[in-house]
Amino acid sequence: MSIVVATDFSPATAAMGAKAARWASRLGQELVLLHVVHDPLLAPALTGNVHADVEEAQRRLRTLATGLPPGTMSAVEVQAADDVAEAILARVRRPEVRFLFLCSSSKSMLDRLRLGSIAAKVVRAAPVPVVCCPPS
Amino acid sequence: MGPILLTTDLSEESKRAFAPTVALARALGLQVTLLVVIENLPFEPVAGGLIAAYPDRAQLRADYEAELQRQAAALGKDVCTKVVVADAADVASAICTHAEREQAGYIAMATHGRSGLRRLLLGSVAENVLRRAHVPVIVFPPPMAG
Repeated sequence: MSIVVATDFSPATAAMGAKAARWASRLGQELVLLHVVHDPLLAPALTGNVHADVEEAQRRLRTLATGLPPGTMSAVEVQAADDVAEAILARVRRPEVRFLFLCSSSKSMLDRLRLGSIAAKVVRAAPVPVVCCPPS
Repeated sequence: MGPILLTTDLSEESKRAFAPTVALARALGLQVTLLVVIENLPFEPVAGGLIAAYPDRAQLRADYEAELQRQAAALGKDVCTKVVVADAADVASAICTHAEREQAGYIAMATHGRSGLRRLLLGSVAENVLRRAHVPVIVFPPPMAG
């Protein structure tokens, strides 16, 4: 069984990871730290170096994992996808997933007011309970 | 850490969050506060005009509180240690205010069903709570069809 933490590396990520790690420890579940790199299929010129972005995300997730409480079972996953929300949903549709943690918005105040389009889409369609963490 | 603030309107849909929230609270060593916010509408819009909706607010509150106490007892008074009935014009704002007042660790709620058009709707209360809350919100989805 596992808890997926979908992060966009916003400032709340570390606090969200620590909270999810406590849940994982108390519930005896593995923590999966997930980041989805946006890879727009229809606009490859905008993509930049997806490989580099994936590697950078893997590095940041590993750093996040090393900062978790000792004994936390964790794995890191980076995906590249055109539809970030759908990639998160596909990951949490796996039968072993029990909870999803994610930030309720990304960095800007405008996104906060809008809830964040990715968060809104994921919360509406997720098949598991979602723990929506505020950005600060 | 403060309690899980479990919000409900006592509909069957909202009660879906009860059992999993209590199980979670037990696992995490947290307590649960059950909260109902009665929407404070002085008049209820109906076809053809407006009529007074709740002639006896005190009785309405008392009925809600009695039902919440029954629900808390059924879930376990060792975990469900408090029930709160509030009146507010803005339900989402009242939920967030109570979360701050209670120093809640989490807010928990269930979302609507996912058939047809409703699948696209998160529910305005849930969506506004997600926007405004300063603590994590646990959103329980409806059961999967089939």
